[in-house]
Amino acid sequence: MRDARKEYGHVRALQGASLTLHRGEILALVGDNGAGKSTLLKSLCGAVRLDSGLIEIDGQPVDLSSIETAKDLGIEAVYQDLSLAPDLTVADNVFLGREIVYQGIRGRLGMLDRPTMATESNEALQALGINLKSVSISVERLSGGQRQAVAIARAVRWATVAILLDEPTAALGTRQTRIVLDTIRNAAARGLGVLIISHDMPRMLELADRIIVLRHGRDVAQYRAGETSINQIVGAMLGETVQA
Amino acid sequence: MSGGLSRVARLREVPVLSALIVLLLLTAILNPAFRGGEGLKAILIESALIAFLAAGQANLIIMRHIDLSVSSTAGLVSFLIGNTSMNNMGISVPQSLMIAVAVGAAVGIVNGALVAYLKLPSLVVTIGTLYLVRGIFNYLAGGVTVTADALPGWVAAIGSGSILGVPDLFVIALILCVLMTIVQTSTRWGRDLYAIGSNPPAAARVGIPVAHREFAAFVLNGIIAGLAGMLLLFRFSFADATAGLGIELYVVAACVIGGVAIAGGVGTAMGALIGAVLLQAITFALGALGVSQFWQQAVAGALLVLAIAFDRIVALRSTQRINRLAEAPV
Repeated sequence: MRDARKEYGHVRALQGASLTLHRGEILALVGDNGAGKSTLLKSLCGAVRLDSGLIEIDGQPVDLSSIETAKDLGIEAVYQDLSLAPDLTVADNVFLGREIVYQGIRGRLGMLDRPTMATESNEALQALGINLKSVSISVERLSGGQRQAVAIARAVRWATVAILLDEPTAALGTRQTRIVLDTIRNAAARGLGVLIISHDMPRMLELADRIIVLRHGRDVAQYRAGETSINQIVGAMLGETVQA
Repeated sequence: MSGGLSRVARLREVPVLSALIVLLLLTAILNPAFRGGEGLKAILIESALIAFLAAGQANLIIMRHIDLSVSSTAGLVSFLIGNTSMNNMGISVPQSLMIAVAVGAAVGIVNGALVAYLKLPSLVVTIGTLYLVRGIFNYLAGGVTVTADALPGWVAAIGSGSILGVPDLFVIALILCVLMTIVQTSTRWGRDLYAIGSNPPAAARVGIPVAHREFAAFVLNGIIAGLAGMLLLFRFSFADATAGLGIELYVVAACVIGGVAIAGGVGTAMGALIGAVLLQAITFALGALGVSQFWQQAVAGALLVLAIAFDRIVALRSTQRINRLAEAPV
């Protein structure tokens, strides 16, 4: 993404932000409230159209005009509310909006192929190291961390390029956060680019390969996770002298 | 955890069905006249219309909507078929079906368009059409009364017939509820309804055509309400401007008691059918015990409140359990 700009009336949410996300990489996007993180994420998942700027996938310019377009291009987002249907089963949620129907006449009638969906959901979860007792229990019965993991597994199942995560560890306890972090690492290990918005600085230092700081709608600093400190990042977020 | 038996035990329909069986057994013990099977037959006949309507209503409640206009639609259809028969010395089955589907679909299209595409609250819209259709109905019916002698033979035949001892009316309702339950639990269309009711913004985000599903479910419910007008005629062989008056709330009550939570996302048409039978069985049991009709209504109301409260308590408890789980070893 290069030189992204977006204004809401007088509010300049993005004023020329640029970033590059590599496959297999975990990139954390940090910034103070109002720095433009959400707008940037929304523009990458197709929920918001940029006023100007260029988004490329593998060097090809793309027009992410809608969430569906972004999905078709292989970009999946995990929103803060997770977008899971709590009354439905784990398998149903993994295939929400993309159900598999039977071949032939039953498929014509729209009959769901539950066994195949269960098997494939199980594989998707196992691949990320998520262990649930069953994929046919309702999401309502899962813990917060498990729900987040299911939401990420769904994104990974369908993404071919990148997954975008909005505050994936917010409101989770230590143990639950552990499940989610492991899931994210496994997702990146499968060759997807992972972009995370988070306020949880210590966790991002631990998890991310790179950290980009956004301030007033611009990317103002970039660090390798091993070569920086929380103080340095917070300094950049607040606009103190940047020694990148 | 994944065993078939435990899955069956977790179904929302099980407690209602158990309550129904206990109630029927108790009634049979307390009232010897009930044991002949005629009592059960009466319950099934009385609950058929409500169960039939509940099949369509369930789709809407699953999506957090409601359609209160069904009683007016059903009443109007029963009168129109009866009146046509009276004026033309009879009416055929296809003609009746056409009237039922046309009137039902028309009301359903109005409800569906206003709710799904104009995003108006379904409660308000369908209270509006409840009175609107009843008003048209009153105008058309005036002081006219359709009686049994003006109706063709097949109306009475279906109304009083039975298959293997089960009243025809109930068989019709049962078939619809079974089919609807299959659609709800085994098809993509049904799955979409639960997804919409479970988390509306998420459903839209994963690409489910929410408005189209809402519209289709309202039209389907309208058609079911129209067909229910035929059931009304079968049942009473009589129609005037009061036909169907007030049954909409029994339909909603049957759904809720049968496990179709008003908060959306859960329940099936089969559950609603069991709810309808239970509601009727309670009324019947109270009657058999000599309780006045007025109290029977009060009990039906109390049962509805109980069902909603029970649902709420179960939901709260499971939330607490999940919160505890959240910090427990995984």
